Amino acid sequence: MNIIVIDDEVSSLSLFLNRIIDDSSINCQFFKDSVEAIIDFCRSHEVKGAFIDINMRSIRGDKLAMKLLDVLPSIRFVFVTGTNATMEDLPERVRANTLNILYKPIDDLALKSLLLQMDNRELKAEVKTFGDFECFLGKKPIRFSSNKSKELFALLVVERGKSLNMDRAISLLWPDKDITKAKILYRDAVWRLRKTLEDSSFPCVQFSRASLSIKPEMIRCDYYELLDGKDVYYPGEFLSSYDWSFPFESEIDYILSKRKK
Amino acid sequence: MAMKWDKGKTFYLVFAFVFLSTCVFPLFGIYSFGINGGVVDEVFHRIGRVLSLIDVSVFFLLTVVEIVSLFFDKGASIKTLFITIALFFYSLTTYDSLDFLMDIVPEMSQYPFTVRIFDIANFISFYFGAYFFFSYVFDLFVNPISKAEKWSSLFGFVLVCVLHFVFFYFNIRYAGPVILFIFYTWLCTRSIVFAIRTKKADFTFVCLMIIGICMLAIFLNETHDHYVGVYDGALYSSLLFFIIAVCYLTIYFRFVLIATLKSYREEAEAKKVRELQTNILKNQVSPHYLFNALNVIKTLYGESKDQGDIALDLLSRHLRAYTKAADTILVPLREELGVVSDFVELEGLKYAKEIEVIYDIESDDFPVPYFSLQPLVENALKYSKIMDKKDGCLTIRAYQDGDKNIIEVIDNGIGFEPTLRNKDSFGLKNVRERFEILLNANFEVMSKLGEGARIRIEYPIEKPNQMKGEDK
Repeated sequence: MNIIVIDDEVSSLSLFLNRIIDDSSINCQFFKDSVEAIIDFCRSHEVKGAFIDINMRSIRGDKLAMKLLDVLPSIRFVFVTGTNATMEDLPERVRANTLNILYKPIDDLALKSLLLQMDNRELKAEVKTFGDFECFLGKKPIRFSSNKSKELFALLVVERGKSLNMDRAISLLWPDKDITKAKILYRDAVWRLRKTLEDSSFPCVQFSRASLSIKPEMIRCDYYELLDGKDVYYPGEFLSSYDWSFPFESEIDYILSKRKK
Repeated sequence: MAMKWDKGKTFYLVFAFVFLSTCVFPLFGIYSFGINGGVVDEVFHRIGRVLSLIDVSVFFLLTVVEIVSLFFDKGASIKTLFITIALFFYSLTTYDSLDFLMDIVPEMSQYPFTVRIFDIANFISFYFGAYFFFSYVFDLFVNPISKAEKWSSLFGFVLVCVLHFVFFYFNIRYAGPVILFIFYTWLCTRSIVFAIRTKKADFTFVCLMIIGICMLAIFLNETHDHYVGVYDGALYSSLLFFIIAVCYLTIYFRFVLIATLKSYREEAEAKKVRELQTNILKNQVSPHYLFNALNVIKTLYGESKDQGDIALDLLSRHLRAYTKAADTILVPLREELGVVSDFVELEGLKYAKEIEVIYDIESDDFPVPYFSLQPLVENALKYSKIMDKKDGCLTIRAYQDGDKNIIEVIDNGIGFEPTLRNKDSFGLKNVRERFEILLNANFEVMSKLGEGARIRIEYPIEKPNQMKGEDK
């Protein structure tokens, strides 16, 4: 995939380069603010997307985007800015082709996700349920702000899209607490989980007033692979640190023993 | 904006009543009834002299009180002293007072020049008094008054003074209608300014203008009649003039002045909120806070790159929220809680301590003033000492109950004795005022020594007062 990155600050360009250097599928061309060179490049290459700084000294990013649209009507933009600019500040024609705005300092995960979107691919979370429960997004661990919100996420993962209501979550995650306290802790875990996922721009859980459910299509998980019949090696115990994993564990044992036969 | 009532206002309303009653009396007595001389005139004349004596005494006393209060009362305004002095001179120089004076010093009547000086002093003091009175009442009820309003009022008053003086000497019999006409001119100027400022020339404005033209026509007609010598002091035209003037004033006060007062009140509230927000923001990113945070980030980068990245992201988000706050008044609670959570995490990194915060959030889509919960949390962390307590914990609760939005910030820290608490801290006062102005909130602080503290904010679910339009 060809992309172009336009920023008049060299440090910003080099930072960008460091973030994507390990992705061999991306062919990236860097430009400062030389409009003619950019347009010439777009005429001679099939450029899928452009990362453009909004505030450059010689030209504004949104005006440059208008010129690029004349050459490549299907090009997609991501604007990079140190200001508080929003999508509403962009001209309508440009906005229609814009995926998002990245704010400096650039978040690695958001960048990775947008690069995949440009290539019509989707970012998936990697979830490891055997051994210690671990979740990765763009090869980086997801940082949950509390252990219980991480545990709630684990429960949602193993439910695989089934909706989870408050009563069931409480009975599994806070079985010993009195109901009033448990409800408070449940709401705290839900709020924290939502904040974590919003900060990562990764909306893989559907939050509604009555229940929660995960979007399994956004998750790549060893447990799902097992259920789908893939014959892979599963190291460690299933969700070893969570007490409520016992019934799921029995089911896994049953599946594995059936396979052996 | 809550309006406080104090004895000063009662005092000036009584004062206004006395003043207006003596102005209206001759209008009815001499001009509306159109009677010159005879028993009735004599009765009115005597009543007028008694009233003028009361006026002089009252205004003299008030002037003394004003001078004394200026020395002993810190809140006394010099403007009120100007009013009493001006009106004291006014009452001292009326024709009734002058008659009184001439009875005592008969030689005065031999010098017409003295009478002329009294006339001029009477006019000037009347309008000075009236202007200061108007300006004082306006400042009291709709503070702060806008520049345009100040200039249009001043212009109106100057016009009143000049025209009244000219017409008074044209013919004394016209003083009543002239006063009303001039008063109308002043109000009309204000109506036009109002229409231009609000860009609204609606039905009310048209009515005001039509009635105004009628008044002008009647006044010119009477002037013409008198000039050509056919004026008969007709009862009907003066009464008609008076009725129309009353109609005019009713419409004016009902529609224009109330709308003006409302818009000034809103303007004053908006200004107050911006001021409060600016004050709270000044405290948010002080050099002290910023350099401390940078120091933490530098230290964390020394320990691990990931930790450094986390701290840098938190600070970036905090700064972004801060820059956005300059043109944002209300935000959904969800967004404000994001600011709180980033702040708490950054504080935790700063003090290398895990701060226990429970977000008991049932509903988070209702509006709150931007940077309003963060100072409450900052306050709680600072004064409750929960970071030093083993099971120290802060709970932020948000829910809807019936037609109310309720937010609570609860800590189980050291608490305080409510009776020993003098007043709110800077942050608490600021947040309280913004919640009260913007959302008509009821703000309650409860605490018991050794048992922590609870702040409860309760406000109606319906749309907030204003400022939604200002949000960007």
